[in-house]
Amino acid sequence: MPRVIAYDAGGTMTDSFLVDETGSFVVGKAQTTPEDESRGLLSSTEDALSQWDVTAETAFPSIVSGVFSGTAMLNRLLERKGLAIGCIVSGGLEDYLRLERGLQTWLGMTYADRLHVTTHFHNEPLVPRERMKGVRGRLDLFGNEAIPLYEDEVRAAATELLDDGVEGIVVCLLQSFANDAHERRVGEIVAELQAERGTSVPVFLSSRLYPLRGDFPRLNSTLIEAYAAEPSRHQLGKLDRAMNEAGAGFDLRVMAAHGGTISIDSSELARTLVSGPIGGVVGARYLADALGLERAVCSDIGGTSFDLALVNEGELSIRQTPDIGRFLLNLPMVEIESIGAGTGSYVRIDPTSNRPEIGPDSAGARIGTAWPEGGVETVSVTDLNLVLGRLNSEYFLGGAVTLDMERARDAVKRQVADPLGLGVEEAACGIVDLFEEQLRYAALARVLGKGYSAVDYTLFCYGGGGPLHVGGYTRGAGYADVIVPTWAAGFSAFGCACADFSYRFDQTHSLTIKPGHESEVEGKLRAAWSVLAERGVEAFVRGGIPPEQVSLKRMVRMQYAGQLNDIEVAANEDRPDDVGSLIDRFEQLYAKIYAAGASSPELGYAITSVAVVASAPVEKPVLPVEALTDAPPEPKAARPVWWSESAGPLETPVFEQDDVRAGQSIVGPAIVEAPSTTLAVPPGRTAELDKHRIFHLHDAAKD
Amino acid sequence: MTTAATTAPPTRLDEQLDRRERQFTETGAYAGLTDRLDLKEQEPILFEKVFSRLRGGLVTARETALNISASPIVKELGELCFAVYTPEGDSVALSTGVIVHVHTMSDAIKYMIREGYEDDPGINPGDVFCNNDSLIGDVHNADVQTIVPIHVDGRLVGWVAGVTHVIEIGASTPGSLPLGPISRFEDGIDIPARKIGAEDKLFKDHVLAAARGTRLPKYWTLDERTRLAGCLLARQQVESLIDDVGVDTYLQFCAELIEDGRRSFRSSLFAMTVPGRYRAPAFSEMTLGSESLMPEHARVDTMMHAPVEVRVTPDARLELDLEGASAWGYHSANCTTAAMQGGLWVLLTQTLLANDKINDGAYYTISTNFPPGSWSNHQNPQASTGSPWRFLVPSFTGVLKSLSQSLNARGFVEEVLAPYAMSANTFQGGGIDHHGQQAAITNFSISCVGGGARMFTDGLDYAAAMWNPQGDMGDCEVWEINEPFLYLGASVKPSTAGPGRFRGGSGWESLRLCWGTEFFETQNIGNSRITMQSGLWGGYPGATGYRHNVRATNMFELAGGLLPYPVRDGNPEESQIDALVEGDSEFDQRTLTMPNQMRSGDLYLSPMRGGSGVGDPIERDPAAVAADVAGGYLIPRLAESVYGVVVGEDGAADLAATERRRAELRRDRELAARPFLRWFEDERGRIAAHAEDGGERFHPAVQRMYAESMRLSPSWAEEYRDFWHLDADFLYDAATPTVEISERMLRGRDPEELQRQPRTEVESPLPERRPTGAEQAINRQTLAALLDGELPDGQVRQIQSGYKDGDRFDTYLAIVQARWPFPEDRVLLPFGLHLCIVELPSGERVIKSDSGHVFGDYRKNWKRGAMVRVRRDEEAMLEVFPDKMHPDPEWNEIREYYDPVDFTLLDVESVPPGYPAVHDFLPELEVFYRDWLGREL
Repeated sequence: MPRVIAYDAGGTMTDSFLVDETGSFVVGKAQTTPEDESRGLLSSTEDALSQWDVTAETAFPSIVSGVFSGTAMLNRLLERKGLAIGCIVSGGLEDYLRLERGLQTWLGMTYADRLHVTTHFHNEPLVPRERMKGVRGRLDLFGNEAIPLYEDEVRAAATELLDDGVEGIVVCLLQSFANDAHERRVGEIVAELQAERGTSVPVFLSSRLYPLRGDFPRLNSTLIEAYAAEPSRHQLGKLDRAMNEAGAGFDLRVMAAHGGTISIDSSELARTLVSGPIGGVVGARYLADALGLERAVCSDIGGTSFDLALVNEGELSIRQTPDIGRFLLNLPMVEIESIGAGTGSYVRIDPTSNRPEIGPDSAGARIGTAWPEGGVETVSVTDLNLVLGRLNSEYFLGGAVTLDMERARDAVKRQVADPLGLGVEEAACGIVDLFEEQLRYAALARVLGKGYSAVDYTLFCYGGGGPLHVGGYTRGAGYADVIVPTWAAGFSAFGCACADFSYRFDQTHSLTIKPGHESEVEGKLRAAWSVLAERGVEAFVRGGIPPEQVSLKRMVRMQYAGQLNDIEVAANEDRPDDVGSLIDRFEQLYAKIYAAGASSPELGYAITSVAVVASAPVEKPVLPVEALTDAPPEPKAARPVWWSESAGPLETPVFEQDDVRAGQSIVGPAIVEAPSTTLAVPPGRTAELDKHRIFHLHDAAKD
Repeated sequence: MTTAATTAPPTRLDEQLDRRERQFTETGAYAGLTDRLDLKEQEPILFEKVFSRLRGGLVTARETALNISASPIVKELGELCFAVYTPEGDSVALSTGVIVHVHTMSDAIKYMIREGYEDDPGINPGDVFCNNDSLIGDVHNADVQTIVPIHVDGRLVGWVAGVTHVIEIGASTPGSLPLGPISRFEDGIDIPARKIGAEDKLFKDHVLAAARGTRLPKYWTLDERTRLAGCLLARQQVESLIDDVGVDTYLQFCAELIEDGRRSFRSSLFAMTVPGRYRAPAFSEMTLGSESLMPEHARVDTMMHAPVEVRVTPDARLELDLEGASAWGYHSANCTTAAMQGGLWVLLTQTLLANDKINDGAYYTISTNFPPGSWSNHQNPQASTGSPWRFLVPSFTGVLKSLSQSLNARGFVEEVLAPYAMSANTFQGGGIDHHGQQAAITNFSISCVGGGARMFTDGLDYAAAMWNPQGDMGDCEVWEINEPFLYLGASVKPSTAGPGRFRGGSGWESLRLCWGTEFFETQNIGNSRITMQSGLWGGYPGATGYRHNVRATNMFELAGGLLPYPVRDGNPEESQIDALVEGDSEFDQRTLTMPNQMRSGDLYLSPMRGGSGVGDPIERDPAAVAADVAGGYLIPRLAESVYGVVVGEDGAADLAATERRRAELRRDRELAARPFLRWFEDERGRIAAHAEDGGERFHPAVQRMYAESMRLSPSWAEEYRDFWHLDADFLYDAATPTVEISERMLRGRDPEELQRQPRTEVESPLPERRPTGAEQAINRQTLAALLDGELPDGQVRQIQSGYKDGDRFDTYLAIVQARWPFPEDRVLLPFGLHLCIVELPSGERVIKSDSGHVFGDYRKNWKRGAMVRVRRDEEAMLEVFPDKMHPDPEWNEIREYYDPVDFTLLDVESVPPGYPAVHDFLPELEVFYRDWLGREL
């Protein structure tokens, strides 16, 4: 019977991932239903359960944990379909959303366009200028009041906004993370007014939700909370109710940017704006932990991008001000580097230099020229794979889509091979090689750039396109191991199911550690942590989880005094406030993260912010365990495949993934096909399936 | 023959450098690679792999190094860049970041080679060099370079270099853009290409000495570590690449990549421009004449003349010529050739060369003339170069304007940009901060100003700056860490943008309250006398600026009583600061001052400028004008006087009243304008009177500017006299002490050596014409929709970001021809918004407007056939600009050229009085048709 379920509701398809108590899993798929997401979720679940011949009525009561991740909130933001919000900001800054930060005019653009200034543009504001209200009053960065709050202006502003019928009021005043007195007072005044008027428009204080330094990202995060997350809360509530009606006993949780899952009642739901890519990384960390690996490179190839993240000592690194959809946010988020190189990436020859270029834009879900229905005229990486025989035109997406080999060949010849003066297969092979070389380098650069070498890392490969290229982008790199789970295509949903139930709270505190004054800092740290810890416990209690089940992890972000870049240091839980051990840990981490010569202890140390992660136990998937077999693997077919320009086509055995048994080794050249993905094992490499149904790709010579 | 691969290179670096220069001079190709690029053509994939690793290594090094910096301008604003060079010092590839320095570091490496560093002090594996000397190869002292050699088996195979803009440089005034130094000796820390380390470590004496030379040692030290860490990481990547491919392949790759860069840039010019001569002079001001803190010889008002001439040669190369530039001066805005190359590089990488494959190949496609002794190539080891951007930013508006003229003629309307705005007023200073520390600040929110208008839409509001396309103004809360000032507001600044059919991007302003300090000096750094740029095709330049600071205010009394205090200045004609606060007010157009003390409670205003417009303002959509008034982008008074738009009480444009007002404006223009020749005669008389006793004199700064240009450049002087029909001995009678110093200093020096650029006389065959692939073609409907502003933004950006289609000229020409009201004319070349070069039925090739007016032979300046109105008094200026934001008519007049038939505004010149009418575009029409398009005219 299923124990754990996770959903990944994308723009077109909703994946569900169900695991039973033995680690067996099934993946279900159904069309996403944006108007009422619960229908899509339920059909996707039914699709999965049908593979186990179980009905939803019988299965749901046995599920103890359910996690959701989806793109609905992000879409609401990008399509500007959020609520009518009013903002109260420091007087004089009413133009926040018109001026933005200059960088929001080029965020997310390719390198070329970041230079190419005529392509830059401002975002359409989430709140029109007339609903941006300034109120006089100023605090300084120490939290001291320089100018008192002009309460009459607050009353006037709030009255105008309420008269205007806003559906939420966001309050973001300068330096409020250091002292929330002015913001709190604004909140009180609005509450008084609402009491008089008998309204209950929600009010969002930036100092309450996201109390970190940086007024613009703080405003953005708070604004998105009001604009896009609030409506999503209703949607998620509906999902939760639908689950309960279907017999589920669990409370649905949502995947959040910091790598944990949070309740749909959380007051900081904007943290769940981006969850899909996070899921994969969390899954890789979980696997790494289960396999006893300290360090891992997580790599995910989808149709449009190559996503990379590192696991160091079992931890994911966190970015304090990520950007999503051209918004700079102060929501701590798992650091993922996304490169515009996916299986759908376009391949072109620059007419000016006659040099090949891959991406950064892509055909995405429209696949490439091989799929005439997609309407794509430009060659994509998938077209090249098809031409080389690495993909099966009859078995793409399990046969759901039939690809047109001749159309692809013709396009590759005309657009790529002829201009380069190469044969079709030679060109295709060369470009795929170049593509993989770029990915290989991008992954290695992450490791090298932090001062490690590849042998310290195990590479995890997942995502629909990963297994096809993993042989290429790990070639000769020297990783300790290369791991491809057989469920690579459903890995994001799997990862969501592996995530902790945890809240994260961050607060800016500028604490310079002066020698001889450590105890002052320690006192301040204890106070700061206890405020955040209280919020963490409170968040769980609200969801009915008793405080004794909540465990706390205390962290600081530290830097050499005066430096801008800080790194996250987890406190020693035996004596978290011991400044000496924080400094030791900081130095150790710093030395591991950055190349030699960067260490600057003579500058002294400073703490920039404190954080607490509060977690409660949840059931997570167990890994499947399958008996090993001695029997040799049986191919289902064979076809000619190009593996290199020099060797030409090689007759290559093709295996069905479900038929490969634990303990079997697939010796390259070989292709392993599954409905959702294709694993390519190049000549000289061997893929060995372990008892957890995970492939380990290594050099044949090793055996 | 591909000499790079086949002849054994000399072993000495100076010989290698000589050989490379000789190869270029003799063959016109980099490294003599005139023929096939073997590696690229035979192994295109390997070539690309090597490239992507080299570049990837640099990007990784930069991203990693960024985290070490303490400086907000490095970390947050990205003022950090790494590049790899050949053994001879030519750049091969570069990282992301502020890429102005790619060529400056090349100059620094070549200097070390030429000066024999190989022998003394030696160039050994593990050595570290540093340079920030602008005469050697830098923009100014604040840009500090770390340079390390790459050796393989003891052989030097290249260099890695990195640069950061250091936030405080120890100059005579605080900050990194010091406007206070009047000689080199006040520019701050000076490291003229010195060895500062060995065995990958910095020498302790250097570390200590440098830290003692700046007001903020921490930033210097951490920046230096940032650069070194990045260089070492990048070097390691190059070494591992060489390990994989071998030294010979690597070196061949480097040479081919640069030659490929050279060819690609020529191909871009060939595909996107029209051969010919473009002129767009620009000006800048240095107004220290009333600055009592200056020594007497530096207490002068200076006007800088940048007579920008851009030529696209018949064989598709770019020439930039500043012949006639005025002289260097006793101020900190002088430039070296390296700074000029840096400025050019910045501009090209935002326009024609926006990609990740640029390298010094482009440098070899460009010939420059920066006249020795002028501000653009001062050649004086004693001249200050602390803040050259003050001249670089204005002067390169001329290059942008010239390119836009060309891009339009060729049909690439999506790339057309009117000139951008100046970064001003810069907030800079030093003292004791609110942490009780000694501090110095330069507020880099100046990297967001108004961009120039586009051909079918307004300019980008408050975003990038010329010197950093990836501009960002940062967070108030982050600036408040370093600056003892509180933000009282940051808002859209009305009427900063240059009016036009499409207006320039708007500027913005921030108002700051001094807080938590009893001693902090700040300076005002801005322009006010002159506009800096002209507009495009009838668009006006953006407004100038002013200062509005108040000392000894009653701010805290106001706050205590909860009375309104200012949060912006807004429209200076209805100044909010003036209305709300009392104190010692500096409210005037004196925008350049030495540091002055401020105390808690004092106010400082930092207004940023707007970009210039495109097209006649009275052709602007009335609804857009009404929206600009409602949105605070335009002061209401100017809606009528500039745009002829009557805004009703409901805030919407009254269309009927607008039509009447616009008809009136056309009549007013008719009354105020004169035929060119009448204007010319009057003006000529005025200028000639300069040579006579008792004649009216131009402002001393203007006179001196002309005198300097004419004395430094006989050819410019001759052209000036020719234009105005003046006597052969005509000269402005102004003292030009720095010209005399230059003459003495440069006497007997080789002029070519003073330009420091390898040159070639070899003409290369034209690049191949290439057909457009079906994937890149833009059809006539799409292009017409783009031109009419009807294409969705996303599609416009796709066209901007995609490859340029080879058939564009014909597609565009067909649209222009179809819209041309005179079907009997054959349109030969689009010339502006209302002008085309056409072939009349008579066979004459003329410039003609769509009103039917023929301006004359296309080789002559069309302005001679126009009606001219000159705004040369305050009243006339105020019809276009707000009070306190208009140019000073003694320094800068606004000339408007109208179509004599319908009085459409065709061009606006913003120039000093006495300046010749600018002949903006002289195409080589026959060459273009015959050689470039492959058909007869």
